Amino acid sequence: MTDSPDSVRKAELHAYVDGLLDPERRRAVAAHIAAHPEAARRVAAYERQKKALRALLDPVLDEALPRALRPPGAMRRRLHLAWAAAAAVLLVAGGAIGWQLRGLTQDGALADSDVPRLAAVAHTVFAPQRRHPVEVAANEEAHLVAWLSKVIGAPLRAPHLADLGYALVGGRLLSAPEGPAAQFMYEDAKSRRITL
Amino acid sequence: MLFRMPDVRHLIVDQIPHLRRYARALVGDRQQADDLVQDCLERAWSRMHLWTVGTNIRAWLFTILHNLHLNDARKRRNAPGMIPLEPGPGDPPVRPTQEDGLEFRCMWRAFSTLPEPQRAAILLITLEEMSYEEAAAVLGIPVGTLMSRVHRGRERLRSLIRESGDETAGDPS
Repeated sequence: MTDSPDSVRKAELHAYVDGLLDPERRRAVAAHIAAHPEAARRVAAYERQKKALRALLDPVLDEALPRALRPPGAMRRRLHLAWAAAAAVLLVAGGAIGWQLRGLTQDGALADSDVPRLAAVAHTVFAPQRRHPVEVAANEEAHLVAWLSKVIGAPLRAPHLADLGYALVGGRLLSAPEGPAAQFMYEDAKSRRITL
Repeated sequence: MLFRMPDVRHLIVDQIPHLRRYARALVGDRQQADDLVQDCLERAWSRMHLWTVGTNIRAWLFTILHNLHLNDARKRRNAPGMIPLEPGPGDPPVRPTQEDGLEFRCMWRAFSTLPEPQRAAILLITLEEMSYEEAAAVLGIPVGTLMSRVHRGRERLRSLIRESGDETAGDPS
């Protein structure tokens, strides 16, 4: 490259191609390119390289995430439920309980799921119900858990939230795009409800 | 602090496609690339507390990925009795459908012959549009070294394409 006083260093040709120059230097480099065919050829070549790499690799961004980057099978469904639980609890009870449940939601593959939203919808629909809030009441907890586990195809457990002041009301079967889902409802002494 | 975790997770999840793209370009093989991303995510989840809020989570994640990749490469080299595989990419990671597909395939073949440090530098800048400072930080090298890798890589690529293009394009240079 020529070394005139206003010479453009080779690094600046790259920065020009990469859009990393401030406006003033950008104008100077553009002028340099216009006056130097060799610089213009370089810049054109670098730009073609960028275009090719992006055309080849950008489609990866649109691929569905492979199973390997999500939790496997039954584990995944349980985690989905756990994530829904955390979402519903956070929604209603605030951060303290959410913090306790954080261990259940360590897997980020859940974040592309609809489950938190569906759990929130289910909560909104059923939590205010006074006469029929649940399908199976807490006095049949063993039956409830066995039934939901069977339908969902993974062992479930109604967590005990007594330490937090919440007693099990019961549960129900929900349908979600990915298949059956379960909802457990809890209530505290002031009749405030949370659902998992 | 209590409400920080879900946000961080979202930030991380947003980066998964980007990590996959970079890993795919770097190691070529799809499965191997996704394994690398998976390792990276596991490490990120378990070290989330080490990430400082407000700092660049992308750089943090890509740094983890890069270091894991280097470890993998080191292990492969040191494994006794194993044929040292050149982990460079083979086929184009995705099939180009555009009419300039041929040129792109050509470019990919040339690109895959570059030394890996040059490929990594070019990929971070080209695909992720990182600043030179950010890319240098991810790769753990000074900015000057990064610039020199980018320059040598792009120039090498240019000469390779020029050679192969002579027959068809009749480039006068």
